[in-house]
Amino acid sequence: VAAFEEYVRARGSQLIRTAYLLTGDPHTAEDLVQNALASVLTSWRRLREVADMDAYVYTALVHARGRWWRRRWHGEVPAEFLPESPVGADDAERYGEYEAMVRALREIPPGQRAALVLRYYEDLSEEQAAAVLGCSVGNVKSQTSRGLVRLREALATLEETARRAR
Amino acid sequence: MTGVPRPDDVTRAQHVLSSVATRLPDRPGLLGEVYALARRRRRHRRVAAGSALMAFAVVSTLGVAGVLPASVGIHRGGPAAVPVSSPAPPTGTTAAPTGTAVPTGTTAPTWVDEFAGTTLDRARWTYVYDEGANTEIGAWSAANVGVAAGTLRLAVRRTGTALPAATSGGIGAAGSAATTGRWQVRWRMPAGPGVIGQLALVAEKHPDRQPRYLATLIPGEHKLNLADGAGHHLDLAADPAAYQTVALELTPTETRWYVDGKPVATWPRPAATADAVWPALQTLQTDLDCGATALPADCGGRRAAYPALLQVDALTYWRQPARR
Repeated sequence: VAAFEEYVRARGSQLIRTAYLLTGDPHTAEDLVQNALASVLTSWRRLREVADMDAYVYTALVHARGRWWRRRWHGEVPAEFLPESPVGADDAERYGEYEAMVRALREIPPGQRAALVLRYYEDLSEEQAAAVLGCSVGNVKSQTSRGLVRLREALATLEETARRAR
Repeated sequence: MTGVPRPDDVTRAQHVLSSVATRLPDRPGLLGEVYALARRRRRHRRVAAGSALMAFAVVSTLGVAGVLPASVGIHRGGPAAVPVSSPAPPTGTTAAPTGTAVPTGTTAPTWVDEFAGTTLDRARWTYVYDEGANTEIGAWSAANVGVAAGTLRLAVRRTGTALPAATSGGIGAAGSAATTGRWQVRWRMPAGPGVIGQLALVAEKHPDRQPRYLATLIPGEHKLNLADGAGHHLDLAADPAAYQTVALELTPTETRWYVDGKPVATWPRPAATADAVWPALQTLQTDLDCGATALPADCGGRRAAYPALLQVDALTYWRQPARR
C-alpha cells in the first residue's frame, strides 16, 4: 500500500493532466484517473508485478477516453472545456493564446490527439504508445504525423483569424 | 505522411500540450478519493457477496442513460454467509426449451418475454447497455445483444489484449419494477471460464442502482450462485450447457429461490431491502485481475471460447407469489 500511495503522490496530478488532454474536460479527467487508480488499488497484489504501471494506467485512460468521446459524439456529455462554437474573429481576440491552443487541440481527432499526448506530453516511445493504444507502431507514426499537421494548421488558422481581427 | 516529423512541429506540440496541461492545478486530495472509491467498490462487492459477487454501479462519467452496471467481477475469498435453508441439488435438463410453465398456485404471468422473433422487444427492455466499462477489462456493446431461434443471446467477445479486452451484452427492464412477486429465468451458458451470465434484480430507487438479488451462472466453475443484498448466498452445482430454470420469489418478509421448480433457499428479507426491483440480464468478462496491458497467463478469460453466449429462453414475472 505504501508503494501505491507513493505512486499516486508522484504521478497522480500528472495522470490527471494527461487525462485532461485526452478528454478535454477536467472533471471527466479526474473521474477517469480515480477509476483507473481504484482499479489498480483493487488489483495491487497482482499489478505490482506488472513491469510498467504507467502503461497500465495509460491504457485504462486511453480506452476510457475513447468511450467518453463516443458518448460525446452522441451528445450525452457537454463539452465545457473545448467550445463547440465555430471560431470567429471575436473569439480569438477574447480567448487569447491559451484558449487558442485549447481550440487547436479541439481540432485534432481523438486518435491523433491520443498519439500526440502519449508521444509528446508523456514522452512515450512509439513502441510504448503503440502498446497503450493497442495498435501498430506504424499506426502510431501515422497518427502522430497527421496530428502534428492538424495542430500546425489549426494554430495557423487561429493566428490568422486573430491577426485579421486586430 | 509517416515520415520523420518536422522538428518545429514537435516543438510546437510539446509547447501546446505542456501549456494546456499545466493550467490544471495539482490535485492534492486525489489519494483520499481513490481510497474512498476503492472502499465503495469493495463494499458493493460485499453487499452482493458470495463466491460470485457482482456490483452494479453508475460511473458518473461513463453511465448510459443514467443506469450502467459498471463495476463487476468475480469475488474470490469473500466472507461466507451461511444460507438459511439447506440447498437441494439442481436438476438441470438438456431438453430443448419448451416455453415457460406457470408455477402451481400462481396467477398468469403479468410480464413475460419468450424472445420470439428476431429482435429485442424494446417496449419491454428499457435499457440495452452500450459503452462504458463493466469491468477493468470489459465494456458494454449493444452489438452483443441479439434474439434468434426463440432465445435471447447475450455474447461476450474478446477484442484483444488492449483495454477493453472484451465486450459483453446486457439488457434491463426498468419499467417493470415491483416489490413482491416471482421472477423466473430459463437459461444456459455453454462456455468456458472467465465469463458469466447473470440475472440481477436491481433496486429501483437505490442511488447507485444496486442489485438486490443476483443469480449468477458461472460456466468455468460449473456453478450457480444465488445471492441477496443482505449477505446471504448459496453455491449450487450446475451444468452450464443444460437449460436450467431459476426463480426468485419475493414476499414482504422472505426471499425464496427455486431451481427447476425445487426450493433451494429461503432467506429472511430485511425491511431495508424490501423496495421495488426490476430485472436485468447480462454477460460479463470477469477476472478483474486480468486488467493489465498484457493479460497474465493465468487469466481465466484466456481459456474461454469466444464468443461466449448466454442463451435465455424466457424471463417471466408473476405478480402474486406462489402459495406453497
